[in-house]
Amino acid sequence: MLRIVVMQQAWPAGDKLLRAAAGAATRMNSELTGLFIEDSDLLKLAGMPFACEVCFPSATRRELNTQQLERTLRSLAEEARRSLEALARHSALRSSFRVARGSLLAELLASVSETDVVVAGTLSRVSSAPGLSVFCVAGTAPAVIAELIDDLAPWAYGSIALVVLGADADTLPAWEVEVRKRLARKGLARRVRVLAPGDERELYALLRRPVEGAG
Amino acid sequence: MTNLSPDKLCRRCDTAQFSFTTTAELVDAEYALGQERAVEAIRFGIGMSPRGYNLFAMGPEGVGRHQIVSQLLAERAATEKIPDDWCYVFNFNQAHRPKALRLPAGKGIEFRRDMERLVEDLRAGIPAAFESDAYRAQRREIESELNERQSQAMGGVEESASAQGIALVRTPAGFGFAPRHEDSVMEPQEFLKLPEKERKRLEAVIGELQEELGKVLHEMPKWRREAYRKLKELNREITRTAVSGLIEDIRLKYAALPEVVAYMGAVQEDVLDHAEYFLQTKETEAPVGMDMSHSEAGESPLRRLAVNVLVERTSEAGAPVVYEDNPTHDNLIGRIEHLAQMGALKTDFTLIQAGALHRANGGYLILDAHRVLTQPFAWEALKRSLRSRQINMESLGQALSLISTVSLQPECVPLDVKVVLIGQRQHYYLLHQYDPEFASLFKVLVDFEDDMDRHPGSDLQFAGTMAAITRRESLRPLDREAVARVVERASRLAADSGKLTVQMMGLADLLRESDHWAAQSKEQIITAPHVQRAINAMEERSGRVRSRLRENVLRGTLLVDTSGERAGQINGLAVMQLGGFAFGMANRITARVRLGSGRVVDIERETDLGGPLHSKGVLILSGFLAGRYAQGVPLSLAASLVFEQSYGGVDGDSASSAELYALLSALADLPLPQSLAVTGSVNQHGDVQAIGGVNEKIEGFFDLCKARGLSGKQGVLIPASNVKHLMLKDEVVEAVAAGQFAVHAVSTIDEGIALLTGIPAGAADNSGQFPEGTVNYRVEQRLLKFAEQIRNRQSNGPRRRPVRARKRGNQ
Repeated sequence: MLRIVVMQQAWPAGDKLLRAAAGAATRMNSELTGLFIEDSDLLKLAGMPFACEVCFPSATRRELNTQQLERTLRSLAEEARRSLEALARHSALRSSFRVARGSLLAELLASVSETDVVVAGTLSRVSSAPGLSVFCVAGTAPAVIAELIDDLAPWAYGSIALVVLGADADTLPAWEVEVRKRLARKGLARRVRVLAPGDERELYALLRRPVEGAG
Repeated sequence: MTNLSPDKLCRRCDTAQFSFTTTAELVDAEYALGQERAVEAIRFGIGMSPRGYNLFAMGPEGVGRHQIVSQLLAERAATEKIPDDWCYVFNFNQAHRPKALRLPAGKGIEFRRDMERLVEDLRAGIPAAFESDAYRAQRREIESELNERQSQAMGGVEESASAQGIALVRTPAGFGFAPRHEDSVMEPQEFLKLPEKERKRLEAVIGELQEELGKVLHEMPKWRREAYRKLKELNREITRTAVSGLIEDIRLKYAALPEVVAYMGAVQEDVLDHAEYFLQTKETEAPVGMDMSHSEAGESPLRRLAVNVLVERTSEAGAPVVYEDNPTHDNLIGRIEHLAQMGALKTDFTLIQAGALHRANGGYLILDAHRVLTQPFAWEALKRSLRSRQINMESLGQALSLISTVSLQPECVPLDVKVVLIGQRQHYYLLHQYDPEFASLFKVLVDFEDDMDRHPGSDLQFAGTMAAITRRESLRPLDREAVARVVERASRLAADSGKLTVQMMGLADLLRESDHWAAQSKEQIITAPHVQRAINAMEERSGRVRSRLRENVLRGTLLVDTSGERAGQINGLAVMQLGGFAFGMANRITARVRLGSGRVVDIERETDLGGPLHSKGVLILSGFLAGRYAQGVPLSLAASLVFEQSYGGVDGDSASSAELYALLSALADLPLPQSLAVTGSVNQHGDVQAIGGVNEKIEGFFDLCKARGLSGKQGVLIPASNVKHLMLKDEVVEAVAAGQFAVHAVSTIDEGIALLTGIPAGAADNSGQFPEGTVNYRVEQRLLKFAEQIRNRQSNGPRRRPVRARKRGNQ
């Protein structure tokens, strides 16, 4: 049985991503795991003596502290768990939920090694538009990836990042061609950019590169 | 005084005047028999166009008011033009005030179909336009522009931060800045280890970055609004290409109707603004800038383009004639219905229902006055509409402020209607007296007659009416004798041998029931016996009380003698009206006299059982006595009069002559024959005056006498002025012809008392003296004796106190 992990952050359109992922998992007869990441950078920020956040979109400033942030994160994680369980009950979907603490990218990459596919929203720190990122290991069936992206694409804005781990330069092009061929049938090939980072730092760098031709 | 001959007791309908064999040979008579005045008034009323010339048709039930009014209105309406259709459409400027549209007759339905077709076309055309590549490309461009603008701005802040060793971190509610260490945020402990100067610098830099970020975030809503506006404009342009042709077609079709053209302009603007209503979208594909969650016009946003055809005249041939059988407030001015949705009541303009005024607009509306007046607020609503000449659809809940939920206030519809109220006479007089607006709104009075003159030719007219009724109701035709019997019955119901009732309902009932008995006899023609059987059966069905009363008399429970004689006692005659059935019965009236102060005591009045007319009759007796007898002396009489064994109320003055006879008998001490009964009122001069129900009274006494056995001495005294009203049943006429019963017509009390006592009444000579041996002489002598007794008492002075009492007083 295919296992899908969906990142559940309190970011724009996070609930829509969850519903789309649950729909895809149901159609693909997969198990869905909710992943809530307590961002270590955020926790560090909260520990600073001057810690403060600028709220979006009101632009008001609010002080941060570790205790309050942890309480907020626990509350958000609980809310994410309940949302997942409610959806799973409604769709008769096998589901699980876990909370991880660490760097966002590192935790996502770590999750890929434990499952088949990881679905996340935007990885950009500056974009407020709903985005989509799909993580998988090299060799995952192109049909599965194409089907999943097709299910999730409608609600996402802009380009879709397909992050492939453990890929080697020999097999990756053929795999990518196969995926793109399938996505082309659904009119999605141009929106997908395939990233094959070696590690978290490389992925970070790749994500910061401007998108070409996607839109 | 006249002992009436049989031919005076009932005016027969001569069958020789009829040339037909049965009514099947007759043509239908005009429907408004004997109602010339009413017909003329209706024709005048419906011909008067100025406001306020509405009609009030008054008259008793059953004279054919509805039929005559409806028929005359229908005749007139058929020559008038068909009024316009009325529709309600959505008001795009004020959603709670639906707009009323006037269209030529028959065009309302067509316009609704055109709008339905337009919606269907828009549902196909608009999505197609939005699915075009051109639209997608332009939309993506706008969205990309916004996103890039935001990303660039945020990226600029991030770049600026990064250049200064600061990381931008996404927080649950926004963004934060922290010193960076390699690719992640610096540990707080490391930060604390930094030299204070460095910490201060970093904090200052972060402060500046927060300022910069704040400015960017402040700009973002503006950029978003700008993009939204561009998208709206794009959507309008795309929609316009799909819409304008379709709407223009309808606009051209209805170019002659400026209101429709203006409405179509508003429709176009609304469609351009709300193209999303026509898109078969999935939630996730909702175009940016299109709000799908909101609708003013109800469950489906497309309902706002529906057309509610309130009144349509497709099948009409002239002006409408509407009769509203249940004129409630809502049935008159229309109502706004509601639908229950999720436990709440919702409404929109498509749920507006027409009232009778809408349906009759441009024509005529017939209403029953009593029903309008008894329905809460219906009369007020009708007057308001007639006064303002428009139909303002306001629910009772709104009008009385009973509900405060948001509802509709449909635009008023101009009203041009002529209302005909049909009611009783008392309704008209009461309204005229108590409602100041009534006279100005209902200027035309249509007064229906109760009866018509019976003259040569009227019997034949009446036969024509019977022919019409039998044909309309598929009854058997009547032969000549049956027609004659019905005519005589009509005269009897009119209570006048010179009149015929125009109570068409009663006449139709008689014909129906006669037809029933003809059917029972398996005959194809209604004959006189069938008619008579129908009359007898009607009376028998209603005659339980009459039978019980007669039984009580015959068994001696109620004391009424029909033989023998007695002073101060006489049989009076009364009519009882129970439901629609009237019958006469005899009542014993007694009088007692003694010395007194000149007062005639009416015991009925003293016990509050006498009505005002009865009391008036008794008081007239005092005037009669005082004016005729012993004028030189005070009237020193104390008399009491009573209706014996009367336990209900007594009213009317028809017994006043009988009471006077009893009083004179008591004064003169002359016995009165109990075989005679008396009816008639009397004035102060002793003239006997006409009364009502003379036929029932005579028949009531006759039936009693017959039950005890007719002696030949029995009879009834009636006022001579009532002779023309006699339409007695055959049995009475035959008994009179056989000398077994008599009907005497008297004009004065003197005639009556002479007949009753067998002694001349006696006329006063020049000196005012009555001849000895006459009734009047005996009465006067008795009164003089009373006066003398009074005078003697007064001349003896005040009575001395009893000695015993005085003695007790001195102790």
